[in-house]
Amino acid sequence: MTTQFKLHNVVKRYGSRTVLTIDQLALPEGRIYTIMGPNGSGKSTLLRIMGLLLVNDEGELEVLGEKVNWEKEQLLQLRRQMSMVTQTAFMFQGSVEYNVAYGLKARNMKSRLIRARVGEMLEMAGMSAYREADARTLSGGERQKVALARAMQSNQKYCSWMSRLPTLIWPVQPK
Amino acid sequence: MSIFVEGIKEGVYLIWQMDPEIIQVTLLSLQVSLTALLLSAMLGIPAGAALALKKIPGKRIWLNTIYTLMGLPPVLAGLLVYLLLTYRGPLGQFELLFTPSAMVFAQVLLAAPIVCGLTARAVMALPQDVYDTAATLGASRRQASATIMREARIGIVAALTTAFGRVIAEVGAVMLVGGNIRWSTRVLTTSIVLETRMGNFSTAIAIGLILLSLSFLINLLILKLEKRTLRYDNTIQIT
Repeated sequence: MTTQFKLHNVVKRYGSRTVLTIDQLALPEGRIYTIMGPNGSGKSTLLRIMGLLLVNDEGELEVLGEKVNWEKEQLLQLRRQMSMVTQTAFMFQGSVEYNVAYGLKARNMKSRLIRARVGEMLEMAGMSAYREADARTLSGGERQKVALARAMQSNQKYCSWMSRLPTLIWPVQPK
Repeated sequence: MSIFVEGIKEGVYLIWQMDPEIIQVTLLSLQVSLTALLLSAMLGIPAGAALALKKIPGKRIWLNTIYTLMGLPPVLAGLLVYLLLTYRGPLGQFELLFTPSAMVFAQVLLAAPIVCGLTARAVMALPQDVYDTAATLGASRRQASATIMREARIGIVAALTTAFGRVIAEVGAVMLVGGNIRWSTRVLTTSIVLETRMGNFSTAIAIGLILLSLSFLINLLILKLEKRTLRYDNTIQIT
């Protein structure tokens, strides 16, 4: 079993305020982890660092077996193997379809394949009827579903999901 | 009051008559201001985006300078361009003074800071979520930047309409560097000044009406284009 994430003496500060201190953290693959804690305890900061959206001030970070050097090429290559659903489930201006197709378009997938894949993902999320809808008019739970659909459309090795637990009722039975 | 009624009547008459001089003046106004707007967009949008997104040393000073230039008095812009283009000036050899090119030059000086400053503000007003979402979905830096600009487009369109409003209505700069030469560099605003000085108030009002109508039509066109690219109305709902 390989270790997907390794953090060693990671520190993050905003100005003089230290918001995260992690001495050691190793997450082996093939499991679901839950990070819980009070407001302001650094959960989102940790996930943002692990998602390579935030640079740590100190310490070392290993993601998907690679030591992170924050070079542009490495960031893109690693990010394309991960995905993240944020608590706000931010939607780009446009339709639900545009939002779900975004990551596939970024990977230069053919438009015919994108259409089919978007259809599958929306069906899995129970959001097929909303394909043409304005993504910004969705309810909080609907946004979460679209955000999950859009995050899990390509074969990622890792997905982080920041959420207050009751925001979503996922309609799919586990296989 | 009658002078306004006269002016409106004459305006309708001038437009109805298709007076060749009025048409030439109108077309030149449009040509100069739209060219200036196009060049300002080409300079201002990338510069504004870079100012908002890149780590630039002295960023605040740059922004402050751009915001100051947004209020640059047209006469001062005209003076600067005049001094650059005059025969003894550094660009005098190109003999551009008192040509439409000089007018475009001066108007770019007025419009580019507006496009740049308002684009920067529109981009800076976006939430961090835009970049984060794009990046986590696998967008490269270039793709994410394109998405940021797409999300900021209402603000960018506002920047363009503001800049166009500024240059089409501006008289000080075009008067100085264009010279208000009949059939050559006379535009709608300089015509208004001329007609007013000659006491032809109704003609001046008439030209003013043409100017306003033109601005109305151009903005209508921009809004139409915006609506087509936007497709969805993102207005805040207030009940």
